Amino acid sequence: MKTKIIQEKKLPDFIKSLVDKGIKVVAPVKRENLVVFDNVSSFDEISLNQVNTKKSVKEYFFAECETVCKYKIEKKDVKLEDVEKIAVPTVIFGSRPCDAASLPILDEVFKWDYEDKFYFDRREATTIVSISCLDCAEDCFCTVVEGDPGNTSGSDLLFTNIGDGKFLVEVITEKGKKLVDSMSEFFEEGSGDKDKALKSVREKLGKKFELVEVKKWLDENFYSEFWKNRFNICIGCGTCTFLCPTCHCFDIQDETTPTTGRRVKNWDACQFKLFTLHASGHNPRNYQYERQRQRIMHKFKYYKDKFNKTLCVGCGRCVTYCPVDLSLLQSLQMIDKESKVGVK
Amino acid sequence: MIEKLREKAKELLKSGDIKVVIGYIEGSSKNRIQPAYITRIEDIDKLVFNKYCYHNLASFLWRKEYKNLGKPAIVAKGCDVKAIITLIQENQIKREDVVILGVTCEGVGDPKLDKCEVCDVRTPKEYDYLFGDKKESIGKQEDKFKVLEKLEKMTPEERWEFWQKEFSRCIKCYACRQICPLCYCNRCIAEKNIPQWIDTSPTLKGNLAWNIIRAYHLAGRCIGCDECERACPMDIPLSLMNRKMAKEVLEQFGYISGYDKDAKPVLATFKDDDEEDFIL
Repeated sequence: MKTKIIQEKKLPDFIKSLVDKGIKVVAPVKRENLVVFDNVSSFDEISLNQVNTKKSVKEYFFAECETVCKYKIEKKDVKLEDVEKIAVPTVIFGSRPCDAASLPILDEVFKWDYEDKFYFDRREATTIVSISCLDCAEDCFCTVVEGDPGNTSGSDLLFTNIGDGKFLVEVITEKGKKLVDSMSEFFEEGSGDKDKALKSVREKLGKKFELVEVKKWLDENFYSEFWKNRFNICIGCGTCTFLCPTCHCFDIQDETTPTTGRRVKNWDACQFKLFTLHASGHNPRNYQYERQRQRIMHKFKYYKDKFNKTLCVGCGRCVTYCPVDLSLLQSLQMIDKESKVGVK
Repeated sequence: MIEKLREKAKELLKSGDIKVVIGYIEGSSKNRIQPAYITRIEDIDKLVFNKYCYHNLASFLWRKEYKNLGKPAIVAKGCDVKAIITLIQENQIKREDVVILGVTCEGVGDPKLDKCEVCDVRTPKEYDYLFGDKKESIGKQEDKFKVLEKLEKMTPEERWEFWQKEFSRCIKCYACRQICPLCYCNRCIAEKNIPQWIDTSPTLKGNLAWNIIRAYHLAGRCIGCDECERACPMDIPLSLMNRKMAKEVLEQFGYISGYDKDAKPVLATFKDDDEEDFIL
């Protein structure tokens, strides 16, 4: 893979140059006590010293609230209106490798039975410049789910801080190359020791459980008592789902007045009681543990069976922010253990 | 203190009087606590109590996942007991159908949560058994509303700007509702769609509608456990709104929730000597 070097001190001008070209630049920013992604117009708005942002990058591809179409009712006629072009040239700067890796995983489902134009228009228009992790949080487990603090999957360019005020730049895709070529004044020829830079964080991450064991157990244990015993304390709050980079369920709603309306696609969560509630009143996932089972099965079995990818990047947000500490990491470690011991 | 609590819990389970103990156990890592419902005596020794026991366990009393397990004993701090009292007032649970294992508490969180600095129920107001030394409450009712001063100094326009800014971050995850011990409606107003009273979209309009209706539905009922604020992933200061509503109810009706299980819910009752001659 082609590599370049960019000097840390050139980053402010790099960002300024992108903004001046009319490119929408999205980066982590501090908002009170939170770090979230938002539009920036200069480098000093950007916050890069946290392990990760609260929300993931997914909202820039799979919008929280997407207008799908609009309509007007004139007499008895319904006039449909297409939504204006929503994707603008964008650079996401400062995403973490785990968030970036979620995108090739999500691509599978968004092109599975029909192509989600909204998602792919944005995918095409966005260049992702990620920054490798030199540190990890207690709840991170990207290495278990085939990720890495220096994972290139999903990024167009990956910056790794190799010390001496320099970032190693891996030019991963054509889009990445195009960006580097158009901003060549900021990049120097060169290479660097990425493994040396990431050695300590990789050791800290270790290997917290084995994915293969989890899959094996899930294949056999849909009816295990484990689900009820552990997951009934879930309160169904949706935090894990909404902060997750790979959760992608949505709900279609119509917001109307007597003569106009718009159809929207909003984030939804399988943790909500309403998610599988039938019009008859029957709910096949009536208890919270059934809904939690669905979440884990979907991520670690069904998606793997269907697309040969695990629907999890190990970012740890669900673990850190669950209000009842129903740690997914701990659950998977328990499943790993049960699988190895052979207990059902 | 925890030894005595475990002993009592074991005694109650053994006697068959109680079928489940709702309490706190050690969580997924240091300084994390999980709620638990324990049905087996051998698991009772897992029960703990420390300053990381944030959760208001009262909500586990009415969730269907536990209701059919049988009569519960519940470990409850002062604030949790206020929620239990309100649930009793609202006929969600009968007093005789729950055993309250009250625990005295000097506050949770590290650093201590704001609500704990002004707590007036360090010793719970209602319990069957009490664990821990009786603790003096240093907070008074008026202290709880001091945090509203900044809001109250704002003009209505400034206050509207403030709340619009806060609620623009809402992502409609409903964590606030799910964790609240008093949001027990089988079908929340936000889940009704004929008509769709509350926009489900995370737009400003939808967010304001949701958060305002929730504050209204909790007015006169919310006991200020602030769990909603803790659960909110977007750091919205929900406690401010709930506290303001509580202050309004206190000033207009002379009532504050969570202290007297025999009191009638203020906004659901009509008294003959009410000032107004109609309920509106």
